[in-house]
Amino acid sequence: MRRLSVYPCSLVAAATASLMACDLFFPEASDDRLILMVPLNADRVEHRVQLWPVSAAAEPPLAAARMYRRDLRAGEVSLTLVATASSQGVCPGYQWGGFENRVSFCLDPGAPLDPGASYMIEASAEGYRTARGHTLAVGDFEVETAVLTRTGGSARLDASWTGSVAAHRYFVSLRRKRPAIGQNPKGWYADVDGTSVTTMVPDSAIDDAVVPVVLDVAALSKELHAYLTSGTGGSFFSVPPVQNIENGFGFVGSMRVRSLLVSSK
Amino acid sequence: MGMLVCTPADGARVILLVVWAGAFAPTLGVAQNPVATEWAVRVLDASSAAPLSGVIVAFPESGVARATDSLGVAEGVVPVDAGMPVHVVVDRLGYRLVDTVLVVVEAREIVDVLLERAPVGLPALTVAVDRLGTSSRELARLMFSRDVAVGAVGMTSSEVKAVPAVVEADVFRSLRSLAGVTSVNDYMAGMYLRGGNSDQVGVRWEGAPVFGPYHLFGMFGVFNSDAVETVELYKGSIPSRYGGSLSGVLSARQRTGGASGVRASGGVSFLGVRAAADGSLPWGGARWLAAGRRATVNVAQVRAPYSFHDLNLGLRLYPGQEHRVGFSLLASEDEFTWGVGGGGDWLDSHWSNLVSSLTWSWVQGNRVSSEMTVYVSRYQGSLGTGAGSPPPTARNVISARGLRGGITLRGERTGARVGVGLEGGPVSLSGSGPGAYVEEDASGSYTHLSLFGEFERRFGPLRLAPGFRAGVERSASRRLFEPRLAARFLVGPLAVSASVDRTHQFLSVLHDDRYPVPGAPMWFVRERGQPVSVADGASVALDAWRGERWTGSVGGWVRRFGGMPSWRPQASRVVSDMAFHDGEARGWEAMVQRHAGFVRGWISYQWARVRFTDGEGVGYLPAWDRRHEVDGVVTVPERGGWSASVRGTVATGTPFWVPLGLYHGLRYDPNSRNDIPPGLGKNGNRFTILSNVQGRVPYYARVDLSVQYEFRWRSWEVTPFLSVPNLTRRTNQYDYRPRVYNPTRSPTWSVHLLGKGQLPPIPFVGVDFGF
Repeated sequence: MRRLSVYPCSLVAAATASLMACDLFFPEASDDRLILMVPLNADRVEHRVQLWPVSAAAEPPLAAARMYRRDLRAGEVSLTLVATASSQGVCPGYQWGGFENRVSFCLDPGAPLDPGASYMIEASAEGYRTARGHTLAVGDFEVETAVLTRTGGSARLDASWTGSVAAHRYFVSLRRKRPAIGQNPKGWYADVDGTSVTTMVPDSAIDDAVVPVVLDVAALSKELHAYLTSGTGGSFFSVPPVQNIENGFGFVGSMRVRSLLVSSK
Repeated sequence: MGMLVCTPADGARVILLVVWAGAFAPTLGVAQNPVATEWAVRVLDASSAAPLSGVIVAFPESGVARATDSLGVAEGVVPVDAGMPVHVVVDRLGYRLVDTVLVVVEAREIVDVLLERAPVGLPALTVAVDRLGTSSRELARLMFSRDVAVGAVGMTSSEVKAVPAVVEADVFRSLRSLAGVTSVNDYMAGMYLRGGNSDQVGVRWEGAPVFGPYHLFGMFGVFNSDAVETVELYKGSIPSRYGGSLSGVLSARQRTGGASGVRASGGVSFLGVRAAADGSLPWGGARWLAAGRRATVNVAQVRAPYSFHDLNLGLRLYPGQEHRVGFSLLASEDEFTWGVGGGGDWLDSHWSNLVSSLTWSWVQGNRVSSEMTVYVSRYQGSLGTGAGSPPPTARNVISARGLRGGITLRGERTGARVGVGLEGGPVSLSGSGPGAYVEEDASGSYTHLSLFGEFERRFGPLRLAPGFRAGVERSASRRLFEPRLAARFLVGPLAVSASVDRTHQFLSVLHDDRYPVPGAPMWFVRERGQPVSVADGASVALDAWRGERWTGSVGGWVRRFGGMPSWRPQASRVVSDMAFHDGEARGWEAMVQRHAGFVRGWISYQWARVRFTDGEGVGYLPAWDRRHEVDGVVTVPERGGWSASVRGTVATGTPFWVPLGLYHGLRYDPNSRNDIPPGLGKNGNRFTILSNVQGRVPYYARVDLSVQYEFRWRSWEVTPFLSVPNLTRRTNQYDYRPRVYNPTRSPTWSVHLLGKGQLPPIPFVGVDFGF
């Protein structure tokens, strides 16, 4: 019996010793792709482009951004350059701050985007693959009705709006006050497929709403909607969102927001 | 002469009056002068005053017992000091027990004890023979003699419970302490065998497949340890009667009640509550079991309300000496909603199992037996990730029905088991749209008809066991043939076994290779034209044992894989982007186990190497490529109510994909009005971008301790316990996430990788009980 007990001990010693040779190895990794974020604002002439290299430790690259209009002619896609930017710049009125090693450009095609037309954004930088993505420009629309009916402890929202060309879905929300520090930063909104909604509104959304209550309806292109509603971050696990950038990460999408004062019953 | 005035109270301790005729008061004074006294006890029938012979007169404090002679006298009793009390118990069948204290006041005194008659109540006489497999050694012997399956191991319910638990005993986690069973991290209870993925270990409950065999993000197995009798684990070398699993089979048997009476047990722990009851019924030798668990975790700070429950029902009938009918049901449900990342994203998941089987066994003497099982297994799972209410969601439903029947013939030197299996059903897999874990509809169905045969022939010490499984998968018009050849050479306490075999699998879980998501497993069936996973393997083992206490084994294996599904969705998450890779794995392992004695347990070691090759010929390591792993479990069975167990694991770190960096996405927030476009100004979640380069995390080490104390409270057995995982507080990392910072506020940002830690040393307390 005593002899047998020697075997497990020897086994542990040998195996533990062999583990010492299997410590961490951590190779260097690099990548030549860009991250590109372009939410085209269909209400404005200027459009902000942000890009930065995938490798967070890399220097901000010398880059350029271009906007093309994509048309389908005789079964083939034709591209027409409508704006270009080769130096960093911030569009007037935009408040996005810089973050990480991002580079900002302001693309100005000189005229509002044509509703329903397809636009491609392309970004290139020396030493990186050219990243590109395209989307449809959503069209103008109007919010027609917005009624909040309170019965007992619940509230029902009835709203309707005209259709927006090329809009995939709509986010419907009550404009709310800026949340206090520590308050849940996530505001309530409904993801609507169609041009009307009847939905119950949680108490928190009504409590947080500005007075008088304003209804915001955002028309989203398919690409932007998919990007905003997908993916999960966090430290435990991470799922990338839906992205539409060829040779890179990020998105090119478009949106337009319309508002109306809410009448209460 | 003294006489006891006897109070006939069963077992009740009463101080009796000692009567001493003639010197009543003075005798009490004698106690002030203690002198060792010789004395005796005479036992008489209270009604006839006849002396009673053969009566046991016991003195519990001194551990002495004497029998009365033909005159009813018990001599040579313990010497006592005059005047001092002495505790006496007098007992004879047919009389009321006397448990009393008396005082001897004079030397050579004979104290009379009168016993009153009492009827004798006898419990119902039951003769029962327990099944084999109730102890670890017996289970090992049973599996060893039944099959020539290299690397097969078993674990009894008591062994499962003996391994130090994380919160409470778990079949999967306990099995992971055995040789050749690999895990990837503390949060996932899944097992990896012989180089295969976790879903390539078929999980069966009483013969029926379980498609969602986990609870709590996959942290625990779905099997309630109170309902399990034994589990058998086949690693690579799988008997032909099991089909459809590439790398292994975990077969669990349900416990049923004892031969008489009703027993109940249960427990309360951090995880929740559980209760079980079993017993017998007065007809057909029927035995039954009912067990259930319920857990609700709602920690407001982490916004992770979680609940799960499961239920086991079992009934076993013996309608005749040769027949046995067993019914089992396993129902489970998990549901959680988790706000992750602080960016308004959610992880919502829900899954449930309903597994039921009916088995009829017919044993005709020692030579012929047959068994038929019909089963249903319904699995429903949903997995929602992302923003929105609800977030984009993927759904999976499997409704499998099956039938398996076989006949076993045993001879002096030959044996055969042949049978047929039929299993199939729809497999629905669909997503709500872009962003869902699965975006497209990838539903299908399968119908698998198979014929299997296991044969054996003994040539002296050599046992040759060829086998086969031939089947068709009708939905995709596939034909599968799995040949198998095993042999064992037995010399005294040594056995050398070898096996070559082929296995297939066409129903797999959709694993995102690079961005794994916890929650409900999503199963998909291979479409027509997609390859079936196939593994060809060879294994050899040397088994040894020494008496009933020690067993040991050492063995090696090599396997080659083809058609291994690999899913790395890029622009869209569609199953049609699935790639199928080839690979190879090899390893060796050793294990020594002590089955009995004051200290029991096992220690195991394995070395393994797994490598796959993608379609472009680039090799990579799967997450379960642990090169070295040492596991040890030491248990000290109950002594004076206390018992303890320790588990230690030291292992090589697992591979990971080196992160390149991360980027903050955008999220929609109706509050951010000053941004252009309105509502898109807020930084959303941080998304990690992985490279195509792999690293390996530091080595893994963990020590768990469990201590419990069992005591009786009235008719209850109460066992409070304390278990502490990761006693050494080591931060075992299983992956890295990038953190970007700018310490100098220069244009150049730095990226730093933070390790994702595993289980911290949180003490868990609980109470088990039974009566």
